[in-house]
Amino acid sequence: MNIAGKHSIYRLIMSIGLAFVAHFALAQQQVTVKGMVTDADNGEPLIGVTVIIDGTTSGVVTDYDGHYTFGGLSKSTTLIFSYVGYGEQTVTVGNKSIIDVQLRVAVENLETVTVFGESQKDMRSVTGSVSKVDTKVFTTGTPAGSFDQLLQGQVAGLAVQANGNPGEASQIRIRGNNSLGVRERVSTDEELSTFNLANEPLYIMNGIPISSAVFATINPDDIVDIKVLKDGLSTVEYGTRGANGVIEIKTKRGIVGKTTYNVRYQHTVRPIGDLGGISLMKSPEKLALERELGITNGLGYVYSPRPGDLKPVLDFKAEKYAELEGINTDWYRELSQVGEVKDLQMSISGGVADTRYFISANYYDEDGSYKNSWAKRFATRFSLDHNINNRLSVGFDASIARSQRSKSLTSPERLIYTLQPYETVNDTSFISRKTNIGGVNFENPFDELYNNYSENTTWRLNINPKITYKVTNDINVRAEYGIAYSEAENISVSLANPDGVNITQTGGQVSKGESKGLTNRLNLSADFMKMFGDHFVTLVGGTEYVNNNNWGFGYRAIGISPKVDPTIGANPQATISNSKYNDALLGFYSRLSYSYKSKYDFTGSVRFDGSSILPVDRQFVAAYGAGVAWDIKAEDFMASKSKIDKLKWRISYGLNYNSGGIRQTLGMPFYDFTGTATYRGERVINLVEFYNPDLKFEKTKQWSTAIDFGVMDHRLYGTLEAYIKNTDDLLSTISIPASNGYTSLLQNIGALQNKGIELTLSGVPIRTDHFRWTSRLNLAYNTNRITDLYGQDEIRVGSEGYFKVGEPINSAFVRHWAGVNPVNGQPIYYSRSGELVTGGNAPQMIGFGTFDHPYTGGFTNILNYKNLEVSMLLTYAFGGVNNNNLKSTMIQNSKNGEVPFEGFYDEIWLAPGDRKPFPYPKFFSDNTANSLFLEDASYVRIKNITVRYNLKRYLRLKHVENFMITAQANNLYTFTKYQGIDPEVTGIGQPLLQSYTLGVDVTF
Amino acid sequence: MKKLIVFIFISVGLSGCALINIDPVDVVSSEKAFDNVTYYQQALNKVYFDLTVPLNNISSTDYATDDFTNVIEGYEQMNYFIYLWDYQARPQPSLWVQQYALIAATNVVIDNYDIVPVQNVNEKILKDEIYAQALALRAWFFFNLTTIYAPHYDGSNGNELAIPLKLKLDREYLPQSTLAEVFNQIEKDLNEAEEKLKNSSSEMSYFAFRTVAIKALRARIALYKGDLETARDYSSYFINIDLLNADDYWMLWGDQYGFKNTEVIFMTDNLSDTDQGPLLDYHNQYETNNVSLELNFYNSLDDSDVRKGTQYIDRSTKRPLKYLYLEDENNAEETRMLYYKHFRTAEQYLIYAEAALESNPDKALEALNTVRIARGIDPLNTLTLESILLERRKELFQEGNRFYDLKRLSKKLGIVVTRPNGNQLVPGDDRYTFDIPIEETNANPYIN
Repeated sequence: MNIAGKHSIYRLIMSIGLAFVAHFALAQQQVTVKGMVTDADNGEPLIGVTVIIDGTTSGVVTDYDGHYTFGGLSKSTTLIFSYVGYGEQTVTVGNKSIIDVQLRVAVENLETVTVFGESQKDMRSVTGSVSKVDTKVFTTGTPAGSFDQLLQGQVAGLAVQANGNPGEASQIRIRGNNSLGVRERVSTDEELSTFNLANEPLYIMNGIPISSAVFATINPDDIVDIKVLKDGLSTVEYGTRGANGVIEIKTKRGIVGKTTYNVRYQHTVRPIGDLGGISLMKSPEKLALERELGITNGLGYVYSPRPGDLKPVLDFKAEKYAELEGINTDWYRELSQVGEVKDLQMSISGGVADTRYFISANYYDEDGSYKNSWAKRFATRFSLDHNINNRLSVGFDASIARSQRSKSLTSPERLIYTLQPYETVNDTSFISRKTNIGGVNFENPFDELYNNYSENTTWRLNINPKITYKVTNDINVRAEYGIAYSEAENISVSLANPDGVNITQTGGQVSKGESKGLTNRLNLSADFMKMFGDHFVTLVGGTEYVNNNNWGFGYRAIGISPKVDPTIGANPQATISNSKYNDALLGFYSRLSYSYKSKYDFTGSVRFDGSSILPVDRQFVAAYGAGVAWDIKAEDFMASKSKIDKLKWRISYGLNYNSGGIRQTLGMPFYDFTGTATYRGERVINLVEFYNPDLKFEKTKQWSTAIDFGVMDHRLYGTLEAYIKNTDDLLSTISIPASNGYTSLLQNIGALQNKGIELTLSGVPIRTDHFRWTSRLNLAYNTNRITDLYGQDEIRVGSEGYFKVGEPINSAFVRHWAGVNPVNGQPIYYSRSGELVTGGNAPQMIGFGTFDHPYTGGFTNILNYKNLEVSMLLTYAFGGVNNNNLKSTMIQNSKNGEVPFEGFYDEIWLAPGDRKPFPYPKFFSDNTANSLFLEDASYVRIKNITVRYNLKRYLRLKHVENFMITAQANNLYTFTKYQGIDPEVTGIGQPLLQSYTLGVDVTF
Repeated sequence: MKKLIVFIFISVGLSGCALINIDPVDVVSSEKAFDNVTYYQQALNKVYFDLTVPLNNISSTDYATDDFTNVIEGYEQMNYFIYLWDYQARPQPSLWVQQYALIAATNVVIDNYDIVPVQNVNEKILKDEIYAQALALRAWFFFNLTTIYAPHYDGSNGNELAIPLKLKLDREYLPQSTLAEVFNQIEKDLNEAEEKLKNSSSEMSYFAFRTVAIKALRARIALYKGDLETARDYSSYFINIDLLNADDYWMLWGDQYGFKNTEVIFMTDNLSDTDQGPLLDYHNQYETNNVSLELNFYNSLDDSDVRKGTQYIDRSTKRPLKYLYLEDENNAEETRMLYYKHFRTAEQYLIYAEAALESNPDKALEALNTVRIARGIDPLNTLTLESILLERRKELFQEGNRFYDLKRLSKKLGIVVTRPNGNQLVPGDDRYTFDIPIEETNANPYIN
């Protein structure tokens, strides 16, 4: 065989090399080698490859990254690398300290290889579009309060918008937004993009669907594999849930071999940050501004001379004024604290021939950037696999986790502009926090920050047993059962404020919600795989049943007694709420794969899904897809092209549905008999929600094509993909005329097209005996436009939502700022025809960009030299805009005495004839979004730099395989033109802070 | 083994449909919800309940009038923008959304009339009463909407566009109906309501919108249209009801249930002793918007006028206090006044005075003087429209009636509302018609 032939050549070369090396290095000194074992076809790391010394049984296995370290060798030692399904390779140590090996598949199709009853997915025969996240991302121990942040910049077409609050989930989109999101300004100092939940991808962990909130709290170290299913074909397996793409997570199983213990501790420090592109006004400027504008609740005005003031008064005023000019409190610093993260991770993994196991425990403790902001997480996992005999295998996986997080209902970012630089922490009165504008509750900013907070505690339990039986050599049957139970408690507290304006404030309020969820899932499947000469056929069929039960209980009480812990709600008059909800999904699926000589691959996939949330007569919908792949490199005419290691073309088509947002109660009128309201002692019943009898599932049809290539002697692999995704019956919660008594409703409103190109490159540009440079780059381009709005040309939703045929969704919809009228200092705008108009007549328009970045991606570089590893991750996004809400709020509220940014005084209109960028603040109350505050939010972020060093050599500890010291810096620097808090943060929220981590990682 | 597998697959397939037929346990379909007249009443309770929420009365319109001055943004910025007559600033006035939400709650009752089964005559009467109340309340809400969002209807401009007539619960995209259509619908609904109430007992209740409240509403509507004869006829029903004397005036606000308190026609219940109580605070907005009564108006109140008492207007800030009951000899501790009075007998006296001014001046003067005497001030000798309007202002300030008065009379009397910064609302000003908010215009292809 070809492969065997090659092997003999390798052996020959190795023998010659050995002889050569032996000649120079006769001294038998002990050496340690390390390296990485990958699949020669696609560069994927191989886990559990056995590395043994030729002629002995002593050896090691590769870890979850495909890495191994082998000590106590001599230069003449010969190592044998073997892995089930792959051809063996032999390498002699020689002078090398890094030995990387690329193994070749030795069977016709890897899927026929089963390990503990699990069929190995052969990435080579994939016809759809599936990207794998590098395992290293999870094992390096990058501190992230929310696990999903680690995915940023890792996969082309996976856009992650991170959130600065500890433990808060990020926003994740695969290949753009499928559904229509709506941007809505909630209040003057807060802006939320209330995207349709229907845009979220589906998260599947070990086969069980999980929510994005659960996904965010996974222990990263437990993960061995994340696949991102992007195209229409590969997501067919998930039927009505897969249209937005699927993220498949697999947790670690044991590696057969010596038992390995791993302990890791990392300590992270987060210094106090700043407000990004904004610096606050200092005292002299602020006092002068107050004096100029006559702001009555500003000390600059209070201590201004007035006609008729007597000399002692004037002297006193001047003295006070000068004194205040000398005070400059940095309120952001005063309200913030240095954040800290402690992260302890332990795991045990191992196995013997027919049994393997994995146990892990993780404790994570994060203190955020102010006192009430923290997150804690504890997670433990156990998995066991056993082959009872050569036909029957069983597997078991269980995990328990608790996660807790807390945050204030406000944040230092939201408070600083209400605090004067000339006020100090010892003050008892805060002059511009007295006006009660914008929902100020406590006058003291520390009270406001500490006395309104929410806490969330979630317990999760997952148990997943499975059993596989090999009926004949060609047929396997499999049963998987999963049970997921979760309990969550949300507490929200607002302590009593005697100076409050309403009863809720003066009495204090606590609300507590408890929810329980139980998901049962059963998956029965059978597969048939057979080789007929050069033809290889796989047929899979199965059924899946998922049943969800949810219970909720909560209460709200007004009037907190200071005598007890506020979270137990001391008011006997509490409002109780109760809920119970069940739904179920039943799916039947089948997949047929055909492969000719592993050269031509075809896959067809279909799934029928029935859902309890749809009316009985139309409960089932069908998703289907098909794809082909052509391994061009395998053709005879390519055989001579030795420079090309891999060349493959794939194309697929798939049709999926998205049920997101549809509920039974949305389809027809249902009434709620559980409300807490009573009127004159009687029950009050109410429509649950407004209904739309015409609701349908959203339908996505996607064409996807890709070229995979490998060049430069297995050093560079790449994939170039392109797709067109058409979504019909778009679901969006849009405005309906308020004359219906309700203002919004989920509707099928039109059609959308997403198009994009994705490039992934990964390679090892330099690989020598002691040095390795690994590099991965991905870049995605996505653009979308609305192709139909069912007869309408445009749809407006809320204050800032706008959809127009031919235009991208999520376009900024604002008034076009034309400047300041030099005559009266009022803002002027452009009308659609380009004429100047005043605020009241100014139309909102598009044409100022979109809030989504068309370009997103990441660039990772890892350098290894002997025992040192240095890696750097850059993430970037280009082409989108963000609304600089902090700046806009500051200008808006400066008339109430709040603090704007430095240099503002020189930029405002003050007298007729002034030509200035900003209007006369006193009469500026136009709070409709305008183009002035839209800024280019493109950025390149140095997301992470990690240095790791293996100290093993120096410590000479017995049994210790690895002793790694890690130093990391996160969010080190952001290159951006954006002048707000952070280009990734919408509204006024916590920026992504810099953090510095030191860690130790011991394997023995 | 193989047989077992085949069996499992087939059985799962067959039971499949049963597995996903899940009836919701937490919510109730229309048929099940309204299988008894008791639950029908509970759907009507929703309307009354919602009416207790401060935003759902139309007193925000006071901010557009000359009653208030010194208004600041405060918590309820919407009121400030109404004060500036800037109906485009956000948040826009929520009156449209709120009144239509109330209409939707009445439409739940109206739409499900046919579903509700009745076992006997009493149940039939009860069912009709519930239905009639929903119709009459809806008519009232339509009327509120036209006074705010449509031009003044003087009987001759019936072709002008008014508001959409939302007559059923289902989602609709409705154009504006004309003023004539809206007032015809109101008339039709009130007629039908009265017809349905024919058999019900005449038991008086302040808390149900039945025959008496309908009369009061009809009088108010007729006066608005300038249909003085009708206004006089309906209000005459009330002018024989005694008003409280000046010493007992406090009872109107401080002793809602007292048998002497006959001045209320329709009010919503005080829910302060329920879970919702803490959320209801009519007074709060006046506090945070820093409202003062306009000084000339305040000064026009005689010192002997009980309505000028410190219980109703703060002496130093001139803030109206009708919804804050201070501690005094009748009231042991300060309480929030949470019985919102939507229709009062005194208003009917004043409607009568105005409606009968031409046709029966003596009786008109008598009606007006009855109010004045009851409030502790001297009777007038002669009567003018101006003096009636001033009396209405004194009697009804802070109760959402001034905008209604200005809208129908500013042209006739040449009333100009002037803000301290010089901005003016002149007679017949366009800003007497609020802008229809984006919550409607965004989504309604017929209304821009």
